[in-house]
Amino acid sequence: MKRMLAVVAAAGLALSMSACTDPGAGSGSDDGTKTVGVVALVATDALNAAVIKGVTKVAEENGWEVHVTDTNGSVEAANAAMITYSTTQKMDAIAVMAFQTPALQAGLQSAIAADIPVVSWGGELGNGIIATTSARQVGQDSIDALLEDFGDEGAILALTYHTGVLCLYRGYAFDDTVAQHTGLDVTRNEVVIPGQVENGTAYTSAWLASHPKGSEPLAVWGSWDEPAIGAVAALQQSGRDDVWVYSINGGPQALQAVKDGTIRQVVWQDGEAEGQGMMQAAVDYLDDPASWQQKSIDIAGVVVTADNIDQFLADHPDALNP
Amino acid sequence: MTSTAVSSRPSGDSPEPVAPANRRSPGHLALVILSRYGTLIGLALMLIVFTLRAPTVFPTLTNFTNILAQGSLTAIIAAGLTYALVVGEFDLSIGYAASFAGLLVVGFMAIQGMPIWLAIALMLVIGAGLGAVNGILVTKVRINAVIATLGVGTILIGAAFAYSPFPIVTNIPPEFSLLSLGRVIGVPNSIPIMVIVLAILWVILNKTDLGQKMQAVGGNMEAARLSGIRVDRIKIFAFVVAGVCAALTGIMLSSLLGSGTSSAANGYLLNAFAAVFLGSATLRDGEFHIVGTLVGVLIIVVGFNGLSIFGAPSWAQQVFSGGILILAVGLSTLSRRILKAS
Repeated sequence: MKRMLAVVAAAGLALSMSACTDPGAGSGSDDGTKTVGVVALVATDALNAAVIKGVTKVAEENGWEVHVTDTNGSVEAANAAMITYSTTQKMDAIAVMAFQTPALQAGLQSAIAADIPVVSWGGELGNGIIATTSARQVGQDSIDALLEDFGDEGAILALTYHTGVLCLYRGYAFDDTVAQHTGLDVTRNEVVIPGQVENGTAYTSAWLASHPKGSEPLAVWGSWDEPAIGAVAALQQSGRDDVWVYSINGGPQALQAVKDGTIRQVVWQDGEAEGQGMMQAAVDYLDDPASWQQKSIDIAGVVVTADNIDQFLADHPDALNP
Repeated sequence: MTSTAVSSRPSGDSPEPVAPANRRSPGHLALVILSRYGTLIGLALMLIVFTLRAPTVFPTLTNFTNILAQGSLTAIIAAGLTYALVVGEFDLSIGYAASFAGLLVVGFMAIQGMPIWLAIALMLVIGAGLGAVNGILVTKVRINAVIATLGVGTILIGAAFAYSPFPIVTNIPPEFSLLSLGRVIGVPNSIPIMVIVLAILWVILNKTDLGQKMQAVGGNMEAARLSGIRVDRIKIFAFVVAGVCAALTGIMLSSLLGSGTSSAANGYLLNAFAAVFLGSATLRDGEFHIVGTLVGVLIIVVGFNGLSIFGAPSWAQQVFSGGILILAVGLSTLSRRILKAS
């Protein structure tokens, strides 16, 4: 019932949103409370939400407030949000998620001019960025684990997404590694957002037609969970159980699929820990900006398979129901 | 009139008599065929080319079954959209409504503990309610349909996120997946469900008084109003059908994925519009109709499937999807204009 009420409340909130905007949220406001502005790629995505949760946790521990802007994947909206955070709302720090740093020049210039530190989730270290998380690490973890499990002979369908910086670097890790294994026949299909699940289903279904059962070892590699879940749907629709599916992110759907045996292996990215690391970097920077060194926050992924899923869920009891 | 009337038909194209001599000329005949059967010819050509180029892979029963299964959800949501377009309106909320429905139906079972049948029934009723809200905003409040349905869709994104920002995957009855993954005579359930839905919508639109009124409203709203048709009610009904179809699509998608996610069905919006407009160039002169919509869906899905089988790069598939839409509707419209001019 609480959730039903939340739906109604959200509808009302959306209608009254224009009247509720706080124009002066940062320490420029009267009470001096510090505020971090989060620029989310897609706030409804599970991993994005986990990162925001981590940012919020450390922010609240340090007495900060958190504002979130959902850009729905739009880099223009990300730049606009950063400019608003810097000039109008005068935030004390900005956390920007999954955008390439070179695409954020307008927003970064605005933040630099206002002397506001920016932490990035997955973007490159650049002028104005004080810390970032590594987008490539889990991609490398995933392809390494795939090769160890699947071997280096067979056909792989790679469901890629080059627009998002996380998937871009995961894709680089995948490409660089499979290039060293000539026995792998890789078909790459680029999914689009929105439609990522549907795309995963459609590409896999067509790929299955040209890769009949028993022809060779077969696998699907999703650069993140949603296309991989679409691939699982295609396999189930066509009654195929001979194709192994690999994914990255480790959201609830993918973890459940590992538990059900429909996904072979997923690299769980600890988004909450990454969010915590980002926010801690912002707090530490403001304590002593003069001696700060730009840094990359590398948090290795956890390879989750049928063998360790039960232990993983015991260690991370919120993973299926965050 | 505050709403945006929609038609792919050229403006002011009341039927004009064509000279008997022209009617019989080979050029005239070719144009008639092109304007009405161009999309079907295109579909047939795709099937032939794909079959010839991949004779052992493309024209197989398994692949055709997969194509139909893939297209079934798009066909259902697009059929509902067809109703909105038939009465001269837009519905941009359908993709978000489907995502919302897919999340809530799973939540009803997993969180509220409802039995499967009740969760599905309740979600279909909510889908109808969402359609009714769209219809009332357009007809009674007189908000432009594009704005009203976009606004409702955006609210639904927020509402879904408020309900559960994370996918719901646990405590879902395993039987729920049978809705999409179960089989009837070896055919995935989604296909017969699509056939039933489209058949019902076709009968209502073409064989009932209600359907005739819908077409009258879409053809000329003022004339329909003057002839005693309750235009607002007809339009609200069309939006309700679109809402129910969107909800059904979301429910079936969640069944297929075994989970509920707040954005899983958003991508259906563009494909549904593409299919319906492709369909408007099929068999009839720029009118939206159910059979045409099905043909539109098949063109999109067959094209995607065939190009993927050939390993065409992803950009080529997007170019194909956009190009086939412009080509089919453009050729059809151009042919009709030439026919009128002759």
